[in-house]
Amino acid sequence: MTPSLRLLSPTTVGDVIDEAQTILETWGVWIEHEQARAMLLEKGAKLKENRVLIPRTLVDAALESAPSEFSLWDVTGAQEYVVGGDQFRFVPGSAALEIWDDQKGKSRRAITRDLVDLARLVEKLEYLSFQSTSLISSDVPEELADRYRLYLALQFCRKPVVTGTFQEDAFPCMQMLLEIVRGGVRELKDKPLAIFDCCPSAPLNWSRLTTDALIRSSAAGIPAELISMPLAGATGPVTLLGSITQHCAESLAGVVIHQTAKSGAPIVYGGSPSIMDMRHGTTPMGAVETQMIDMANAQIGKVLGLPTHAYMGLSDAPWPDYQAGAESTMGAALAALSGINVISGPGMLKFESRQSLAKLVLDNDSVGTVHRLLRGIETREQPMALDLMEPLLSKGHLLNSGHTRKWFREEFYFPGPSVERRTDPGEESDARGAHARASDRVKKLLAEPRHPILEPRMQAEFRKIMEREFSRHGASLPPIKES
Amino acid sequence: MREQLANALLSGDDIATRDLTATLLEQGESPVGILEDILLPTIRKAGDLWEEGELFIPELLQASAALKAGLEVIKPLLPASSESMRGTIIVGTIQGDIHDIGKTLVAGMLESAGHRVVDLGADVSPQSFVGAAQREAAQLICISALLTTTMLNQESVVTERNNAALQGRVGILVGGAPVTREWADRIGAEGYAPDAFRAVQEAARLLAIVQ
Ligand code: B1M
Repeated sequence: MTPSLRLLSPTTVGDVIDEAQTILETWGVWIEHEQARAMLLEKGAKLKENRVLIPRTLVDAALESAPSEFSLWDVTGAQEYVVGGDQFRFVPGSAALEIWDDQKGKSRRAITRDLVDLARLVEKLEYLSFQSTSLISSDVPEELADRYRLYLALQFCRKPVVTGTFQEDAFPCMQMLLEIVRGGVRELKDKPLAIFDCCPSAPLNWSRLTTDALIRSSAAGIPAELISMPLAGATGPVTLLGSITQHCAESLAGVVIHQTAKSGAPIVYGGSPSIMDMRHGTTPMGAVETQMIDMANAQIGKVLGLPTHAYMGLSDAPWPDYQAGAESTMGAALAALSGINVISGPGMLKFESRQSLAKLVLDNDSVGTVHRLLRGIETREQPMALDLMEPLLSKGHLLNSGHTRKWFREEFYFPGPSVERRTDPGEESDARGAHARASDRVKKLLAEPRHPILEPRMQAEFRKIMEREFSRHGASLPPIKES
Repeated sequence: MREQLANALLSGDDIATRDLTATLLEQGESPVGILEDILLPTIRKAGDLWEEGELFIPELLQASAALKAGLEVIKPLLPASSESMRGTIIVGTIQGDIHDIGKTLVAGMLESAGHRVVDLGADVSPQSFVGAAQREAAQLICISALLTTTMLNQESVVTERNNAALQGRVGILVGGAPVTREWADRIGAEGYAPDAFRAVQEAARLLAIVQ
């Protein structure tokens, strides 16, 4: 039995979906993108004072055509990852403005080398199934930061990538990079390599940038991921259920736009909602209420028959301390128990604005623990203990028995640097703690030899594309530096 | 009655604040007296209570809304020379950027510090910022940006302000997640604040320079 946790009753889920549809029928959404607006009006939506009212028939048709699961493939095209059902996959949190310098103990803007290090590290962290374009490089022109992240990610990590645009003109370039890896337009459709995040703007707005990304990804066969984020108490109702209902309405509008553009294209029901901290005016992603909203949203996504996503397993602490461990581990466990398919969070700190390599290592460990939890308690042998009583009672232990040697590796998880279990780890380890152990692990992993991921021909094409982008902005493509 | 007005404002009751202000005027209180002895000290007290953790953001913002309601009643009666409000400040999120919560908090905090705030909303062009500053005779423009891509447009507001020969008369304060003191210095903005609370302190510093 796979352990699972659901927070809403089936009746409440039904009520939320019903009310979200009523919101779309009566209040509708504001859509900045003319083509998307026209497309929906043609399909029966109505325009009322600049807002597009979406009838239930359109929502139902979109839900009918959207697939309940899809697959992503890694850069080599060999490894397939199904996104759907109750499979859960962890991904580093995306688009941090800063990196926590684990050696110096302070934060700073990220540069090319950090992006490369992060991608190389994620390549080696076994419990992170996907990579993401996690950091923004400050040593290239800001206008090119979105595509530059993908350019580096694909060269240094084989895993499928969760990404997104900051500017409309980035999409074609990013699509081209993905097509080069796959070897063509058709090939990318057959074996998607990336997920594109598209954020509606609470309350009930779809900006041109995000609608454009939604439509373009549907056409390119690149799975889209809806990141609706009402802030409970600010851009959404303060009641958790009220915010969950608004999230549902915003996301359903996204599904309708996406499926109307291309019926059957893969789309994920996701989000990064948060409560509003009423004392400090911040958006705590690690708050328990935020996590409850995320869990409920995913439960609704599942009933709607869509793959799901959430920003969980992250923390608002400024650096990888106690708060970071507690919020991230609890979030990771709750997300997996909720059967959320894509879980963005590892490495992330400070309200989604900071990444740390040491925290990625620590979170990878937590996710390992969560994997163990989700395997549940399995029936290995029948009878379960009876036949072991004779050797146990005669020797007094089973430490080196065949039974123990057969099963201990499967039954127990062996945590990495996040956990100290030695009774006397030595003064040095006592004093330094998990963060220092994780930093050592980062150094060790990055010192290992690296083999190029892309063929030289692809690398040359990558450079050509990026050089063109950079020269359009009067800049030159910097050389790639690794640690 | 004066105490009732102060309580109404502090509890964010905009209708009572408006009505009690009107009643006090009818009873012969002077508009300047109501403003300087009741409304402004009470809103500052609300700010202090928020800092001490007694009031929360929704309550502080609602107190600002109540202040506005009271001001609407006395504003037309105040002699032009006795403009007791601290300053007129234009606030908005920069062009291309729709993140507006931080901006709204900054606007609310400035209002609760007793300033007249004109909130232009999000996705505001440099021309609109400077145009509003001229129209409203403002002393300060506050520009929020949340994206590394859109913060670049903050510089255009500085340029636009300088082109309109307003440098020295209209200060510029920038903020938002990717914005730093170094960035403010680089683009020639006189002020920078990392959060809404410090935006109020920084605004006071800048208003003292430009006025
Ligand atoms: C003038 O003087 C001053 C002085 C101080 C000032 C000031 C001005 N302005 C602010 N301050 C300061 O005082 C305030 C109070 O103390 C503070 O204000 P803040 O605004 O920082 O704080 C608020 C009170 C609470 N914080 C927030 O409201 C922002 C939280 C995060 C999670 C966030 C949100 C909520 C949203 N987002 Co967006 N979003 C993120 C944010 C992550 C983060 N940590 O910043 C960030 C900023 N977003 C990001 C992204 C990528 C995007 N977002 C987008 C959209 C959205 C939503 C619409 C969904 C939503 C905003 C809703 C709204 N109505 O505002 C998209 C952009 C749309 C656009 N064109 O603007 C989109 C591009 C995503 C996409 N691909 O669609 C990232 C930035 C990347 C970058 N390149 O810079 C991001 C860091 C999250 C991430 N890790 O991916 C201080 O900064």
